[in-house]
Amino acid sequence: MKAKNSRFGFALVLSVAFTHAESQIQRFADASMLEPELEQLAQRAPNQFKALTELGGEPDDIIFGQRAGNFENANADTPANDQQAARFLTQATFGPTLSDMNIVKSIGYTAWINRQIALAPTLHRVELENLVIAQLQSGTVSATQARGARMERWFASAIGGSDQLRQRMAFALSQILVVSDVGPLLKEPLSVAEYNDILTRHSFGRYQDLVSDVTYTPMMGRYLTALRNQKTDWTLVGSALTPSLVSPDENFAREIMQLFSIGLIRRNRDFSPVLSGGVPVSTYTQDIITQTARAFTGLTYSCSAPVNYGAFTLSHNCGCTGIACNFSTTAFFSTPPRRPGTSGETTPLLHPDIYRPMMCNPRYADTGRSQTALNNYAVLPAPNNTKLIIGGVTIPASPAACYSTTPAADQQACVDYCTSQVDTVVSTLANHPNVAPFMARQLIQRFVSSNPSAAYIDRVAAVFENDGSNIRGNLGAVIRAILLDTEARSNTPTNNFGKLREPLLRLTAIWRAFDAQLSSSGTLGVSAIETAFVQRPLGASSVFNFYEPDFQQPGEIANAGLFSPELQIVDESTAISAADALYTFVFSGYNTNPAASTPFTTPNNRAYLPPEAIDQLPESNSAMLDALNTRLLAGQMLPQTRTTLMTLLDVGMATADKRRRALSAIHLIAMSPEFAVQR
Amino acid sequence: MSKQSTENRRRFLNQLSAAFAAGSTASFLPQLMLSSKAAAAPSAKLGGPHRALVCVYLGGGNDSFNWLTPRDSQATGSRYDRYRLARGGVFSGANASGLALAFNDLLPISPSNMTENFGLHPACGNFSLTNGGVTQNHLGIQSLFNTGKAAFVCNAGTLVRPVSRDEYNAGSARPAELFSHNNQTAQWQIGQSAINAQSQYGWGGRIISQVAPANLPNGLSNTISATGQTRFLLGNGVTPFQVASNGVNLLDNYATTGSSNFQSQRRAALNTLLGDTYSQPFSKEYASIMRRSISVGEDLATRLAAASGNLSTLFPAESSLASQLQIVARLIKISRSALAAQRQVYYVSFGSFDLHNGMFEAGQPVATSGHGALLTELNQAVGAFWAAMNEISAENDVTLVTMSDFGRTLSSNGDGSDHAWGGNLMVMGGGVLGNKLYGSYPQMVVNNNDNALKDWSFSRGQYIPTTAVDQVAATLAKWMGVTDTNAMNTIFPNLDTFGVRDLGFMSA
Repeated sequence: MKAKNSRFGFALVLSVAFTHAESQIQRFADASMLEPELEQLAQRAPNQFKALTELGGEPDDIIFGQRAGNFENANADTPANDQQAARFLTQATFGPTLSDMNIVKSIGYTAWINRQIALAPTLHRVELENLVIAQLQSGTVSATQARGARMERWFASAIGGSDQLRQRMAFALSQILVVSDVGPLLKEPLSVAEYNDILTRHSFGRYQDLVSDVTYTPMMGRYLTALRNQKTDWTLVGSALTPSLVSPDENFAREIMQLFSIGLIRRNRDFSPVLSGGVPVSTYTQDIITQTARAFTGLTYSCSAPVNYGAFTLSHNCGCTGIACNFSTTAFFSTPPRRPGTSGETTPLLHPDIYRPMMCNPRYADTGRSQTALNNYAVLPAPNNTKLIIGGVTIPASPAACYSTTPAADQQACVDYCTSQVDTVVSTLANHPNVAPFMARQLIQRFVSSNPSAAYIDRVAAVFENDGSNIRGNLGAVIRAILLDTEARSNTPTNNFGKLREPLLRLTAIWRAFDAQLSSSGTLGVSAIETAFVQRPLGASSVFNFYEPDFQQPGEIANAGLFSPELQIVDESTAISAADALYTFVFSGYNTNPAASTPFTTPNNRAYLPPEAIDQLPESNSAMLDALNTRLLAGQMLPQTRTTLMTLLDVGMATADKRRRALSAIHLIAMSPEFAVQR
Repeated sequence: MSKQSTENRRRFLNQLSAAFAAGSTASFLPQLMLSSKAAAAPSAKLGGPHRALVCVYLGGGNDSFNWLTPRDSQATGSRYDRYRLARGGVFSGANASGLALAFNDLLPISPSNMTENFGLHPACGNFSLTNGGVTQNHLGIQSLFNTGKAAFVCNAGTLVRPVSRDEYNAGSARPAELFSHNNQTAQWQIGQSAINAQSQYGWGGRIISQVAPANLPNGLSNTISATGQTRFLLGNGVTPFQVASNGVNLLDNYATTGSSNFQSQRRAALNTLLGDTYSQPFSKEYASIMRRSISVGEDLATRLAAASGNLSTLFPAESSLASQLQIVARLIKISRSALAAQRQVYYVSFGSFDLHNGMFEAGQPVATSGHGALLTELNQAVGAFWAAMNEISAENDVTLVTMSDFGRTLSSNGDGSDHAWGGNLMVMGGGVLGNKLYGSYPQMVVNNNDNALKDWSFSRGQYIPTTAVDQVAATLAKWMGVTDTNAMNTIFPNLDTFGVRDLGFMSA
């Protein structure tokens, strides 16, 4: 085992520890007993990797639901060979590694998943923040540079994080509950990193808790403009109670329903549409949107104390403390400050209020009451006193009158009203019958297959509804059900099974398969990865993600009624830009001139596949292709492909050295029609 | 006071590649099977000179009642006065929730078919561009309108049939999933909103199916996107070609004649892999995309790189839309000459117009901030494109049309507007019978239910469209050569529902 001075050795080192502990682990029938053992193992990671583990926060997990999906055959819980292990890891991680394949082979799928669920989350915001603070103390750092650093952190976790399943889940969730740095968060990589951390912490927790945190985070508040969303003020004009011309912003109310929870059409548990007279039944009307928007009012940045960042302090001056801030107009409109740069540039260092959960100002929340003391803030005449949201749920008017100078005795009641109406919407949506099939289908699409059978969706949705312990929305149980389902694990998948690999997952799979190393300057070279791969983590062009779950590639795929989300961003232009970028990364550091005196030079700005990993491949072309087939294609390489590559290596490149033959084969596989798809 | 008043909502999409910015415009209605392929056989293909249609898609829902605005008088009861009231007054520091533009900020236009004056957003003026010591003066939309090269179609939108507010409230047929971005985008692009019309084909692609071969002899499709996937350009047998806004992406390190690092040998292997048969549908599709990209792309790149593939017209720098229209202009140039194309449809897009907030930015010039920043980018890209068409003498043969998800609420949500229905769109080109407004410009009254004037809006000023997408598209299709009634009905089977088949804004 080579000792590489790189954090990407982390997974490798941990896996050694796992292997050593194997005999102990086998003794535990109940996987939940494993957790302390695993934490100890994780803590044995060498110092240079410690940073990653220290970032781990408290996961918001439900540790175990007992239901493991449609998985009956205990013997089949263990892959029969490297190929089956690689196939599983292609679905569950950012790409199979030799060491992970060995672990899965030895402990089986279920135990591997349980271990993954138990691992502490690798988080990003704190580390990124410390990096920025350190930089600012010695010089400057721009928001753009910090965005690049965010990308580096994200990819470092994707490639080197031991909590692979959690990182994949967070990535999947980031494509469903979308917040993007394309938009108002462009210059706030810390806020975006914190949003990613929210998803990471909740990856195996309860769906309702996830949606609640997503609703209250100001990153979502800004992305979908619920931050400082205000009610319509009703005042007396003469003797007539009259609404102002301003109505609550409908943006978040719409998208939380359309995209984050229930979708547009009512669904049976297997995702088939509920029909009425042959026509799909809508889940909601425009009026529901307008009324729900009224419940998402009054939220703004929190107001807390000054924060010390070593040499400098950032103060968020709201002119209030405690519950008074909830009633302060100044606080409502106060924006947390940013550390100014030495020469006026935009730095990425922010007061934490900018990413802490939003607080409510009841004066601006729609309490179903008037906004004038002239009638004592009376409850409005029906129907404006209440909000009728989805599922026939009605939110009544606030019992207390809430305004800027609400007496102390009523203040807490007002704040509680404000948050309770938000919570009512969240819990009503989280308990809507559509959520289980809606989330089950999209998560299956992200991990396993674009076109799961109705029965597969139904099995996973059933686990979503009840994990076996009467817990609804246990995402850990859901991912377990997805990955262990017979449809996912069948070694004879149907022709239409599988999904196009997301462009970024093609890159991470190559990197992980060959133990990619950081450049000499400690980077991967991913700060502008989207220019080639049309995908940047938490950087979708809109809340509709990089692609949509219902996208159907025109032609044969659409005619066959198949969905192909990822094909929405693969076209004549982007297929080539990705292929070119993959070439750059595969050959990174290698001199392609056979006569060169230095055949390999460690690159200073781009990750590379280390020569050792290439040199360790088998010598003969045939055995080398076998190894590449296992690692990159889970052993699924078609005979025709093998023939083509063998001919190239044996004949066309007969005079080439081994590294060049290997790298050429790797790149051809990387842009091949087979590697484009994971099956 | 405004939400996020200090946040500077910029044209962030410009910072990303055009392909990356393409976004969600291509997706399909949720999880419902597609209708079967259009069955009608194409009519005889046209001969004759080149004509092209260029669709500029304004992603997110353009607030188009602030693009084309009444400007008759400020007197009480005037059209402008009603507009000002409906939008909560003129935006100012003291009225930060107001969405109306100031009367005197509007650039006046006098449509020849209207008795009243209208105004355009102050972003629509003339402008000049300088690069490398060369300065060029370009016309803006106001001048293009005034000189008869541009027209607007008012209060257009997705419709299943003409519908009044009473009929709507009584449950009359309406487009599926109104107010939803992706669904309404799809229906604009399909060009028909009949219930469950979920064709995989768009009206741009359907036009080509009727009037031209799918591909030119070099393999280039007659529908071309500079902004990634779009259903708009798909037709039966018509598969659009996608270019990047800076041209064609070529596969590096795989030259057929290259000797370094075994390039030619690797290329041969790649060609074999891409030419192989794959039963897995995604592998098969990917192979097809790669093959098309390599074969057509290498030919196109050569043509674009030649002097005959370049333009001297200056386009705005650092504008995603301008870059897209620039590559479209260059492709039109080579298509008209070397490729002898006869009918083509192009598609470009930019956004985000989904201004739930940030319609205005306090203290910033209205013309170039908030919504104005987006419209400035549009104005300058369109103006440069017009100049380029003149440079290659194609100005009478190319028509540009804007589309967007929907119009927006007249009423404010504090500092922006929300999703609505009908809106205004622009057509521009030498073939346009310009300096006119087509369709019916609404009265600008929130919650209006006037059957006599056919002026219907909901509580937040969401206007029911009075002109259908189908009619706009059919008018353009006719200009593109779909003159046969049956052929037209094949593309727009719902057209007769709306009475007027040709809105009259195009010359013959």
